[in-house]
Order: sequence, then C-alpha cells, then structure tokens
Amino acid sequence: MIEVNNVSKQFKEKKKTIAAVKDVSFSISKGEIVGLLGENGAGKTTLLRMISTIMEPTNGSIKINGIDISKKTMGIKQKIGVLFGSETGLYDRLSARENLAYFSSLYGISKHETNVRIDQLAVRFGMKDYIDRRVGGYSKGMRQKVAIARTLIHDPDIILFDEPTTGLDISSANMFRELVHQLRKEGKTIVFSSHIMEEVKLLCQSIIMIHKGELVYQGDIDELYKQEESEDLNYIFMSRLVRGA
Amino acid sequence: MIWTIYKKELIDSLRDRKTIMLSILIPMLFSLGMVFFYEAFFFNDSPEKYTVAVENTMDDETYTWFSQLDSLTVSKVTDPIQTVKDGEATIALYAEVDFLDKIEQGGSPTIDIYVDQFSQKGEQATSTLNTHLNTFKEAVQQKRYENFNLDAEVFEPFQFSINSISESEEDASSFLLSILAPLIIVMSIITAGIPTSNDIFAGEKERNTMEALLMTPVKGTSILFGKWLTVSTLSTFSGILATVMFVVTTKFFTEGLTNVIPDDKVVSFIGVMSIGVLAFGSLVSSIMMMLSLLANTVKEAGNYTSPLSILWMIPFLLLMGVSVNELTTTHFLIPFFNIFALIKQLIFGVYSIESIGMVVGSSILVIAILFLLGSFMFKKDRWVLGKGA
Repeated sequence: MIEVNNVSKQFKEKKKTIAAVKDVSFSISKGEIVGLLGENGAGKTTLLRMISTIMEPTNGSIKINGIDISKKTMGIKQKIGVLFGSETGLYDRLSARENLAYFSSLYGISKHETNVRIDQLAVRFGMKDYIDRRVGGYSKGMRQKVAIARTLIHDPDIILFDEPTTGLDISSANMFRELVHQLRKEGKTIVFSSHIMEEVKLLCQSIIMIHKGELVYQGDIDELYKQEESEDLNYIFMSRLVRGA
Repeated sequence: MIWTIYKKELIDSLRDRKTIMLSILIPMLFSLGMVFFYEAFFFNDSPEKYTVAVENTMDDETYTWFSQLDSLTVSKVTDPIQTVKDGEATIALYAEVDFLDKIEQGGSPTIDIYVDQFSQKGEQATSTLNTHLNTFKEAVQQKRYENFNLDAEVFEPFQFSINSISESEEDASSFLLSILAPLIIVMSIITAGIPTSNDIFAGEKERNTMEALLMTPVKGTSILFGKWLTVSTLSTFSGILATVMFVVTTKFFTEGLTNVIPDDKVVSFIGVMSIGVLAFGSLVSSIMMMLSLLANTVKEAGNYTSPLSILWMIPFLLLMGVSVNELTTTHFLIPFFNIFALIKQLIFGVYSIESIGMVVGSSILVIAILFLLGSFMFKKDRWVLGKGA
C-alpha cells in the first residue's frame, strides 16, 4: 500500500522557486497496476523519485505499508524496484551479469542467491546468449531487458517504471507489456508513468493524472470512462487537462 | 558495501583502456623523456662551439688570434649582423682595424659585439667571449704595468671571490632533480585521477546510473567513500609508479643524475615518497570528488577539473627558487605546497619524520573537511541527481 499525503516538491533555480509537485495526495493498493499520466514536465518523474526515496518532498509525507519512508528509508528501499527511462542504470564496461551481481550485492543478497536469481532472470528475459558480454555493445532492446532485470534483482514488492517504453521498438515495448502482466500475476504493485494512452489502457486498472504538478484525477479507469461517457483516453486526458479537475 | 563499490569502480575504471593509456602511461613516458632531455641538456660533456661572424676586412693577425680561442669558430663575412640575424652565426664582432697591432703600440682599440639578447645560446656565447677578452685584457694590463715599472696591486686595492657552499657537483644534479621530480610525480597523480573522478560522479549523473545506485539500501557516505577510494587508488598508484620509474630512470639510464639518490637510500626514498604520494593523492582525489559532484555532466566536470591540472604549477613555481634549508614548517603545513617541499627534501637527502607527519596530518585534515562537505552535498538531491532533479 502506497499513501501519498499532501506532497509538494519545490526546486530553487537561481532566484526562482519552481513547484514541480503541488499538494498531491493519492493511495495505491497492494497488487494494483497504476498508470501515472501527464505531459512532459508535469511532475511524474519527481513524484516517482519521491516515492522511491531518492528525493525528499518539500512538504507532506509518503507511507509504504504504513511506514513513513523518510524514517525507514533503508528498509523501504529493499521493497522498491525502480527503472527510470527505458535503458538506464547500467554500466557499459561491465557485462549484464556483472551489472546484476553488483546491484544484487548492494541489496545485501548472498553470492549464491545472486547467481540463482541472475540465472532465473536470464532465462525469463532471454538474455543467456549475451549475459557475459559487456553492456556497451548491446542493442536498445537488450539493454532494456538488463535494466528491467536489474530492477527486479532483489524481488521487490513495489515496482516503479518511469516512461519505460520511450524510444523502444515494437517488439521490446510488447515484451515490456507482457512482463507487466506477469508481474501483476505475481501480486506486485506497479506504478508506471507514460504518455502512451493505449499502453495505459491495456495494462492499468486505475490511473493518476497530473498536470503542472497538480493532481487532476485518481481512480478506477472504468469509472473514468463512465464519468466522461467515453473510452477514448486521449480525449479524456485532454479534456481533463483543459478543465483542470 | 564500501568494498563492493570500490571493487566495481576499480574494475570499471581499469577497463577503460584509452583513459588509462592517456591519463597514466603517456604522461609518465613524457615525463621520463624529460629526464633524458634534461640530462642531455645540462650534462653535455662536449663543449658547444659558437660561431663568431667578423668582417671580411679583419686583418689576418687579429683573425688568427680570435680563431685560436676555445669554443669559438670565427667566420669572415660581408655583413656580420645580418649573418647573426640569418641564424648563421651567434655573435657579430666588429674589431678596429689592426686591433692587436694597436694594443701592442699601447693604444686602446675597440671591439663591438652584437648578439640576440633573447637567445640563450647567444648569452652563453657572449659569456665565453667575455671570459676570453677579460683574460687577454688582464694580461695586457699586467704587461703595461711592468713596462712602466708599476705594481699592479696599486691599481687593485682589494680582491674578493664568490664561492658556492655546495659541496660537490651532485648538488647541481640534486637541484635539477628537485625541479624534475615534482613535475613528474605530481603531474602523474593529478592526470591519473581526473578522468575517473569525472566519470564516477558527474558521469553517473549524466547516465542516470546514480539514481539506480541511490535506490539501493546503501548509505550515501559509503557510496561516496567507495568512489573516492577508487580515485585515490588510481592517483596514488600512478604517483608511486611515477616515483619508481623516476628512480629507475635516473639510477640506471643517466650518468649525471645517477648519484643524486644514493644506492642505500633508494628504498627509503621510494618508501617515504609513497607516503607523501598517498597523502597528496588522497587529498587531490577529494578535491576532484567535490568538483565532479558539482557538475552535471562529464564535460562540465572536465571544465571544473582542468584548472586543477594547471593550478598545481603555482606552488611548484613558488618553491622552485627556495633552497632545501630555507623550507619552513609553513611549507609543510600548507596542502599542495607540502608535497613539493617534501620532494625537495628527499631529493637533497633530508629524511624528516616531522616533515612527513606534517604533510600527512594537514592532508588528512583537509580530506576530512572535504568529506564532511561531500557527505552534505551527497544528501542533497540537487547535487547528487544533477540539474534535472
């Protein structure tokens, strides 16, 4: 369970204060798949960074399973896996195996357990042929698989994906969608930001819409269709932004 | 966790072969080439010959006299000054007609010398010619005093001499090495650490790997320490390697510089130098770490760290003219100055525990301050995540 309560984030740039997230509150239940929708610069990444503990809110609080993440940061980190972008968080001069082993050891997982998990992930993502080659020579799709494997290496309960399919080809994007379905079956809680409405429609039970740092909608996707008397998410999104609520 | 981060960063850095080649090996080979160059330049046994251009009209007797002077080759030309300007002679000399004959007759003929005052060779040639002419002048004066039955001492009320306190020719070699050694060792330490430092802080922000790292349940101070340790290791290793290569080169591949570090002091020199290198390498690494933390990209970090590769020349130049017995406690307490002071002491055979203690102590103090500052910055997302945060 993720609870975001009146969270704001401000950045100081030169003499100006920029409000990236403004008094946002929502909650996500365990095992739910939530789409975080918003235009570029709406505050999606900032929000995910705050939930993932790497950025502190200026105001408000975030709780995971009832625990304030600012107080039990290390414990919360064990429960969360994050992927910012489609292929980030990898070291080009290390092989995929070395990348995964490195992050696994940082999560305090034993060597034996690490090897077992890496082998499982290699099979799951079809990485066996290239897992011992250096990441620098990988294609975008291969890198994405390794990046996702890195996100899952410590078997987190909550997974945050920030624009995971941006810049990916069709087969890689489909692979990602298939993965989300699998993770849903495993009971993981997933939040992913996207601006591809079809993707959100396919994968999510509920959505959170933010615009210019403010919450525009949070709730069940079917409920939204009923409210708007339309199933065209693009249209709904745009009309909600215009109305601002 | 620190060990895990350190091991990974070290492997990652060492796999960057191009950087290792450009930042460690090439500067080192260049520096050692300087040792050979300096030796060839300052310890050249064969005296250099300078060409003196004189007018075609110079009488044979005068021409013959100048021609027999050591280190000089006299050449008759139409326009001596133009010959010097054309680079075909070092000095242009105009002597009065029948120069020697006029001296013989008690006259006072003149000589005009023209030289390029910005040419080091011209300066050396003038000095050589000056010595010859003064010697000749003194001999003529002596002869004239005798002809007039005068005592030469009457015209020289006192005499004085200026002597060097340096005991041997080795002191000149030590002086030379005290200039070369800091250049080689300090440059190796700095150039080795910069690329890695830029890559593992600013580079991680640029590639967004820092986010993935921060998502792990590892304390920021452990990440910071592990990364700093990597930069320190590379800088220190490069500095120690440079020291060893420097000693080996001077001992085995030079003649004029070989005795500066006596055989029985080689191990002590490398050992003590390594302590100094470790202190300085760690200090420089923490400065690089701070600069890289300030930057959002590798390019920006490069902009911040490149002045560092020039600024170290300031203490080097300031201490170049200070002799080993003029070094004070202050020199050993000021970071950056102290490594140059320590190298100078060691080159001149002074092994002082106090000096080493001051170098290490003051470096540790600055490192601790920078670490506190770095830890503070590492907790702030604007520094640790970069501009996009």
